Amino acid sequence: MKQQYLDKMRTYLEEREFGRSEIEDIIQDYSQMMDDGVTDGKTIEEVIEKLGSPKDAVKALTQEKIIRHDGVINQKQSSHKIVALMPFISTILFFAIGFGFERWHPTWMVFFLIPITGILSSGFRRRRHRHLLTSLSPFLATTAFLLIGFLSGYWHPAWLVFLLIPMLGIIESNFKSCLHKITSLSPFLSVIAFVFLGMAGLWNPGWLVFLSIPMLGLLHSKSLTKIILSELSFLIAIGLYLYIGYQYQMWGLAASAFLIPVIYGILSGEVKISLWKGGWLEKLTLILALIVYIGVGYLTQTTWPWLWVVFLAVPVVAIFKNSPKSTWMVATSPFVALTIFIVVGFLFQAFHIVWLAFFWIPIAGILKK
Amino acid sequence: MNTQFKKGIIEMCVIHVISQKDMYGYEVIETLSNQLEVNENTIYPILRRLTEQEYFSTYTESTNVGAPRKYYRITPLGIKKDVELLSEWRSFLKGVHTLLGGFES
Repeated sequence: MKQQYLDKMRTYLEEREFGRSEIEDIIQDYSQMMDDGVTDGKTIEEVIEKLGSPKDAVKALTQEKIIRHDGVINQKQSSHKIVALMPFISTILFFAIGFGFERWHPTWMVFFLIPITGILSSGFRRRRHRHLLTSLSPFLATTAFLLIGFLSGYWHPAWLVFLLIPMLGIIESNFKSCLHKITSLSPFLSVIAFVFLGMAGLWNPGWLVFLSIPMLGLLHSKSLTKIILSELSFLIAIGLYLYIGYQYQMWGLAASAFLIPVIYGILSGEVKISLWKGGWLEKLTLILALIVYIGVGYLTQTTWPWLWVVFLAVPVVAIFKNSPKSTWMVATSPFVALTIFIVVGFLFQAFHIVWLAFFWIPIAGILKK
Repeated sequence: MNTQFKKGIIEMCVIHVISQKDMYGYEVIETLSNQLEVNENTIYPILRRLTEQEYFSTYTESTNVGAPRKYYRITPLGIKKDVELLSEWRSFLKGVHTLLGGFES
């Protein structure tokens, strides 16, 4: 019933003047309000009655949208003119620089001015300066990537600029605290640090930077003792790993040092093995992944840095088992992209090209639509 | 009661309740509909517009049940608006009471 309501609402919103991201945001809010109503002890019918029919809700949303736009109508006129003129300005610039300096490439990039002006104009019109950088980031990142690539040939690690897109989104979003923001940024910062360390020949132990993610996450605990002990368990494990690894060159054995934070986490309740609540298939997959990880890792000794991707099979199996078939492609796309990125990147040292695998995530979304 | 007039009152109430504490969407609807006879489906669109107008900022917080929840927090602009609307409302009510002689009559 909930899904039916949301589907209807989506249809009505699409018929009106709502942008794609706006629709997703509204649908998400309504979905959340329904969940909250049900959690509050109401039946889904009662919650729907409270929220109004999808048609009425969209009507009310449309009216509010009109009110919002009326307030800024004067600014609209002048900014629209600039947006309308930009294709002509870009073309003139393209030919002027192209003929004048015989530099057609990378002069063609002046055409990026068209979407950039549109975004800037829309941002100022709606007084939403806060998200301007995020909106502009795909163009800025692409421009930077192409410029660095063409001018210096450093396509790798220039692709890292694309990480700025989600990072700017996080920076410009509101978080409860600065720590929440840093925690959300940590996966991206870790990837950047990992790539640079890897380029310096330190893939191992460079991967340790990823431990900053759980270590920052643990800082959110309310108990200071728990924070100190759990952080300490990580620091001891890292120290032992580096000592055993460098002293005896036994990185496989060194990795067992990480049992310290895992065991501490289980004992203190920070780590809950909720997986065991899952079905037999997930358990079997986890056991198989562990066997493959430890077995192949020990046999080869060189595959530790990327072999962990076998554990991604666990959530993927859970998706296959618990989600409708129609959602498989989209739901598994991040895991597929990450696996391709890590495996091909490590095996062929092709990180500068294989980042393209992440395009599979939006492509899967578009194909599903 | 005139719809626009009612909407103005809802807008003022939404701003004021969120100025008291951060709230999530359903909580705002519940708080208002428990006290006022309003068409609940108008509350979320108003809340959304006020957020667009930067009277509120939003942040998400994880919950024990389901997906993380979006919370609304008043901004300095929202606080200013709250003071302004409350002052206008009180002066308006004072005038109405003078004309009608208060609630007792």
